[in-house]
Amino acid sequence: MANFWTGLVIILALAGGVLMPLAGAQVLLEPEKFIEENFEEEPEQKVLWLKKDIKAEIADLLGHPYKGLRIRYWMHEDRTAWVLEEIGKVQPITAGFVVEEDAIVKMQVLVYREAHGWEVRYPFFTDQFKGLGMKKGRLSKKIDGISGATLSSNALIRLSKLALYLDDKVSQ
Amino acid sequence: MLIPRKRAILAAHRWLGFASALFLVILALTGLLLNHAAPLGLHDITIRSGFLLGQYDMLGKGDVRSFRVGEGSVISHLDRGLYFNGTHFDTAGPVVGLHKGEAFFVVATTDQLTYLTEDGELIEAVSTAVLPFEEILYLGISESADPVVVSHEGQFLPDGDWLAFTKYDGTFRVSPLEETAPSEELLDAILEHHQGQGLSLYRVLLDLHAGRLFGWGGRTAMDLTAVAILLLVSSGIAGWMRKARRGRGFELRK
Repeated sequence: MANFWTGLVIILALAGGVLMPLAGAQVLLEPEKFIEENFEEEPEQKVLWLKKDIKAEIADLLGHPYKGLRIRYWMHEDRTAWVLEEIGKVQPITAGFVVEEDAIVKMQVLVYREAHGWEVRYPFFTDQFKGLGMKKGRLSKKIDGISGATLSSNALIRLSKLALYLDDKVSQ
Repeated sequence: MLIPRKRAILAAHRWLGFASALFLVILALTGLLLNHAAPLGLHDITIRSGFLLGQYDMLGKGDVRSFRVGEGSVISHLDRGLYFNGTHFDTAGPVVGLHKGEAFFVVATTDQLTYLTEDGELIEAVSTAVLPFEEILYLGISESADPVVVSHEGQFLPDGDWLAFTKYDGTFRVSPLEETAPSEELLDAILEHHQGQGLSLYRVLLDLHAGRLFGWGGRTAMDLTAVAILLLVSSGIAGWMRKARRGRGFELRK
């Protein structure tokens, strides 16, 4: 009998593991919580208005125009935080970035909506972004993508470039 | 082997054939066309028939909700699509409030606040995930004529830029959103975006072949047709065997 229950638990766990990523949007961390966790003191909420030249440079970074005329961010001293969205395959991925002294301090996937490629949320992938900077539109280090999650990996790489670029703009 | 009487076999064969003839013709024709989809260019031929779009749950004109904002501008919503004067600008839930500020329009939907210029250009779309409230119920007006966001989590007053929100416990009033009847031109523009180029003929033929085009009934009809084919084959063979046996008996008697 014990074997039956053990087997049932294993089957349910496996089924859950397979089916969970197929469910709709997965809120991994509320953006509000992400901001709270990454600042010792309450940051100031600000917006960066995207003038024509900035929009053009962002379009170069992303490979497509950015929808919107302003981006909100949170700032305290030299640290900025950004909650950005980019399409993976068909759905937007929401990711949070914390940038300090021209380098990414933290990158975290906050909301994942795609049916595939959800491996990008795990630390073995997101930790690669720590300490990442940008020079002449290129990241200072190569990010290893995940096979089967190439589009999601690429979307997050583009967003990391955007976060570094935006931090540079507001820090000037 | 027991073979039913000839008359019974013939009658069953005749009625089965008659009843399934139309479906068999559909199966045969659609099968033939699907087998030659590429040379016939079936993937490139598109259909925008209201009846067919309805079969695929693609929404139509009656599902568009439109609201007048400012002077001569119309905000519309269809199946999570938001439109400014017929031009798609974002994706969000149903519209629950509209506000015309000094610098921009605010479109409140259940799950986000969207700010637009007077020309309909998107300034910012802010999901409730980064706002102090989760589900917006409607927009109201405070006693001092300031906009109020009414949500499940309470009422909030936005600052001038709609960036920060402070909790508000004062009185407020809410005017229900007044829908407006959009022009045909506007509806066409919205449906053009929502439905794209329509359905490919290949998809329609494939679903007609499988009976899926008419839902459960269509699938069942096609299943029954497949069973009918098997029965027609069996009754045909049975009839032929009976005739052959009788023929042999007649020869032997001779």
